[in-house]
Amino acid sequence: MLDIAELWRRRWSFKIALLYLLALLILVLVLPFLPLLYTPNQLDLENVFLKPFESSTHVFGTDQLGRDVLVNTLHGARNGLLIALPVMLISSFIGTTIGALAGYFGNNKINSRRGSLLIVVCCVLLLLYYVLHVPLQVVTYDLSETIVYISFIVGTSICLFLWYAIRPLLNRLSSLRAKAKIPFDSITLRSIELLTSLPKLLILISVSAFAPPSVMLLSVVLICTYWTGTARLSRAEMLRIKQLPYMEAALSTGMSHKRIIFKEAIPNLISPVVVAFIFGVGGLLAIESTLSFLGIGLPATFPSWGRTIAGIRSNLSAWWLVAFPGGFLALTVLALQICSYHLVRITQERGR
Amino acid sequence: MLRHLFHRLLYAIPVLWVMVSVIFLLSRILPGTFGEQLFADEAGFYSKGSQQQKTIAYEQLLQRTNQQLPLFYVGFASIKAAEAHTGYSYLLPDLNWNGTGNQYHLWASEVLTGSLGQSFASTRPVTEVITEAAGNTILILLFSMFITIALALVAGITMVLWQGSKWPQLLLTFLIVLDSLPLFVLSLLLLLLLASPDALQLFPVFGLGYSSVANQSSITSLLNQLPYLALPILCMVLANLPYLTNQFYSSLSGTMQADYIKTARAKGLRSYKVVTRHALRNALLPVITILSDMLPALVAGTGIIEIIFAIPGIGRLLVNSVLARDFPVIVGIVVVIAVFKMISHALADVLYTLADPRIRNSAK
Repeated sequence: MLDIAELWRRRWSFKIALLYLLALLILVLVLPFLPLLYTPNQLDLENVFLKPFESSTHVFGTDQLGRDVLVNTLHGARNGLLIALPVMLISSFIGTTIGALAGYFGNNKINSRRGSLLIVVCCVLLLLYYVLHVPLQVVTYDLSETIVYISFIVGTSICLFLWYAIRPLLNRLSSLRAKAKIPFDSITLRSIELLTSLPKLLILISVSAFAPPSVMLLSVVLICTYWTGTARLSRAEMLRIKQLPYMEAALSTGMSHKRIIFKEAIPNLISPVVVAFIFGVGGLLAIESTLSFLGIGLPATFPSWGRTIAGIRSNLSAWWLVAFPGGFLALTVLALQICSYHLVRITQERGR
Repeated sequence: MLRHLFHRLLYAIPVLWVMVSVIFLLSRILPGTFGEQLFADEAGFYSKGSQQQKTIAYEQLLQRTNQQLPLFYVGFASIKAAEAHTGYSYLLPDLNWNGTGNQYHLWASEVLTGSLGQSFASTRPVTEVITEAAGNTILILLFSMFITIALALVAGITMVLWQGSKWPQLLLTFLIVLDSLPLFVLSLLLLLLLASPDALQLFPVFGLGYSSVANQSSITSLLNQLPYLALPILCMVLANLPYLTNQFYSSLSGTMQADYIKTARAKGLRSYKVVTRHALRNALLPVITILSDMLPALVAGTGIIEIIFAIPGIGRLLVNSVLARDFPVIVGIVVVIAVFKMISHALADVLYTLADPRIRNSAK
């Protein structure tokens, strides 16, 4: 925190970027309560392709359906951030946890009884049926919703029964009692390799093709492809931290692994993760508006920067459709990059 | 050397196979089959026909595209049929074995024989559709890559040479600002500035011109297309320049700290010679890996450019088939890019060993 205060005083670009981001955050929070003249989807077919600064009500002009560009830009900022922030938060959380665990435990520190492993595999297969297959069937054939709830309840209760009643019995058998090592590190590396074997944008475009555009699907696909970066980073950091003397000291005082990881190690690897987080939010904003521009990101009823910019394709002389949302997008990404750039600098200086 | 390469490929193939299979299965599992929108669309071709005709046409479509077959070797019976008996029969998983007559098996055996199936929309073989589109994409990629590498090299070297003066800082600021513009905003802005009648009209806007005479030689047709390709290539160059320059610069300034550079300086070589003769070759090594990582991702990037400038290429084909839900083409493009990525990684390995004798010796 001290470093940030120092940066705040010394670097004017950091100050401006941070102020801009704070203003944007406040805007996103209060936007629904602001008394705007129009709603983002309100059509005004008499004033199509109105030029900016000419009309007193449409300050930034209108698009091909007479929707107000200013209101759409503001709401686009809100929707973009409301997707980018939670997605990046969740994927950073997943990535940090998996990466730190993989780095800490390596390939041969986690043991489990074979019986328990067997039960876990069974539970996963059962849950795949009850939690994934049944709801998908319900969606495809338009069945009643109660089926989903009943199958959820049945699925979880079968799993709980297996875990608490059958597992102790299985672990009595001598052949299933032996401990097996779980190669957690290899599993993590393999799955990261799997997800990065194709370019991100390609996965995003093709998967968003397979179902009608929805916020839920877009977020899930984004999270699935974005956690790998953070996981790699925090695994590498964890491997470095593990060698440091204070970790040895913590181990020798008899702390539990859980406490060492969460109390000692994670606070020390959090700063590169924060930098990656800020950087990732910028990237996500760009990707979300790119997908919306192509018409395969958010549903068409959601105001977004990409949707407004896509209006340029029906009228090439409407420069304001690109300039305002595009400029806003570029400014936001720039502010995020400046912040992460300065944060990288101070962590490097502290490292020396 | 060859053995090492062979090992790399052997490890990469299963990973790729799993990923491509997942994409294939996802394309069929998720709701929304090809042909559905034919009937949803009120003003569509089939809207005049009766309900019975519609269902017959739909079933014929499913028959033609093999979509009526079960998806995988094993599968659960669909609930619709099971629910007819009792209210709760769906709670019992009903596994059945589908044999080899399933969509995955047919698709996989086709891929292994080198065919990628037929497009749902046009019933042409997917390989034909893709090779037709690939030419323009490869052209844009190659040109923009060469120009970007050359510019990034020049910029990196000048920034190292002029360290301490004002220019590197200015160039860095410019590159940071350029980097914050997403590709599609950048290309739209350039389109508005350089190809619209309101501002400067230096370039033609859309398409690739008329393919006028059938038996032109390839060079003249390329020359005809070049003005149309100039602006897209410029966009690609500007979009990739910041990242590549940054990589060159950091790797160059890293090698400038090495001891042998001090020796070269102490010999009294001019700093220009020090950089080009001694530092550059070592600094280029990590860039090979970066380039091979970038290439497949660039194909997706060219897609956006191709859409904006209406150039028929792989990316435009991808997005268009996404909008039309033409699954065989989408999966086909995924397969092609995945193979392309694998090959470029292997190639980077070979180049790396050729460029660095230390690795060659340790590999033996």
